[in-house]
Amino acid sequence: MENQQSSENLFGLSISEETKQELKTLSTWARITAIAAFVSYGISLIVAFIGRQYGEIEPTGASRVGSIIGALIMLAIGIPLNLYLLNFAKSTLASLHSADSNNLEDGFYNLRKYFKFLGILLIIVLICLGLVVVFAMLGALIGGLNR
Amino acid sequence: MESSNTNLFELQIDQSSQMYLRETAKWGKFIAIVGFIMCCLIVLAGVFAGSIFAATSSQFGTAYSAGLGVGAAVFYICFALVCFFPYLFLLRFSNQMLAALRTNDQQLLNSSFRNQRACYKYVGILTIILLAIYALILVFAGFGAMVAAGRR
Repeated sequence: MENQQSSENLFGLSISEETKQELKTLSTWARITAIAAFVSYGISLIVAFIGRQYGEIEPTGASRVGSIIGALIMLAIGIPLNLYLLNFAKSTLASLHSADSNNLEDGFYNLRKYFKFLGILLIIVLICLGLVVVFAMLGALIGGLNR
Repeated sequence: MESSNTNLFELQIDQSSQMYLRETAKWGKFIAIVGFIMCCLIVLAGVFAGSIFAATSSQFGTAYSAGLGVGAAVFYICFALVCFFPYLFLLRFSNQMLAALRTNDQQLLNSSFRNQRACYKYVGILTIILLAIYALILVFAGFGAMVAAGRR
C-alpha cells in the first residue's frame, strides 16, 4: 500500500482507466452542451430577425434592431466561448483514442481558456451591475435632493 | 509492480496540463462562488417579490397581487434552485481538482472529473429541455397561426 502510494507520488497523476471513462463522458457532455448552445444562438438570431412578424402587434423598427443587436452580442460572446468547450471535447476525445499527450494538453488548455473567458465575462458583468447600482443610487439621491 | 507499469505506459498529466487544470479549477471556484451569491440574490428577490408585486399592482385587488407575489416568489426560488446545482458541481470539481493536484491523489482527480461531467450533463440536459420547449412553442404558434389564417 505504501509502495503504491509512493509510486503514485513518483509518477504523478495519470489517466487511469477510470479517469479515461470519466474524461470520455465529460467530453461527450461538453460537446453536447456546446452544440446545444450553438443551436440556441442560431434560434435566437432567427427569432430576432423574423420573430413576431405574424403576431397581432407588429414590432417596431427600434425593437427589432434592439433584439437583433442583443442576439448578435450573445452570438459574439457565445461562439468563441463554446468553441473553446468544443475544442476541449474534441482534443480530449482524440487524446483518449490515440493516447496522445499533446492532444490531452491541448484539451486542458482549451478548458482553461473556456473558464478564463467565463470568469472574465462574469467580472465584466459584475462591474456593469455595480455601476448600474451606483448610478441608480446617485439618480435617486439627486432626485431626492431636487424635490 | 503492476501499478508502476501502468503508470509508465498510461497517459500522464504532465506539468503544463497540471498548470492548466490548476488555473481552470481556480476560475471554476471563482465562478461557482459568484454563482452561489447570484442564487442567494435571486432567492432574496423571490422573497421580496410578494411585497413588490403587492405595491405595484394593487389596482387589480389584493387577492390578485398576493397570488402574483406568491407565484413570482415560487418562480424565483425554483429558478435559484435550478441554477444552484451546476455551481455546486463546479465548486466540488474545483476543490477536488486543487486538492488532487496538491496531493497527487488519483481518486480525487477522478472524482473532480466526475463532478465536472455532472455539471455539463446538467447544463446540457437543461439546454436540451429548454430547446424542446422552445420548439414546442414554435410548433404550437405555427399551428395557431395556420388555424387563425384558415378561419379568415
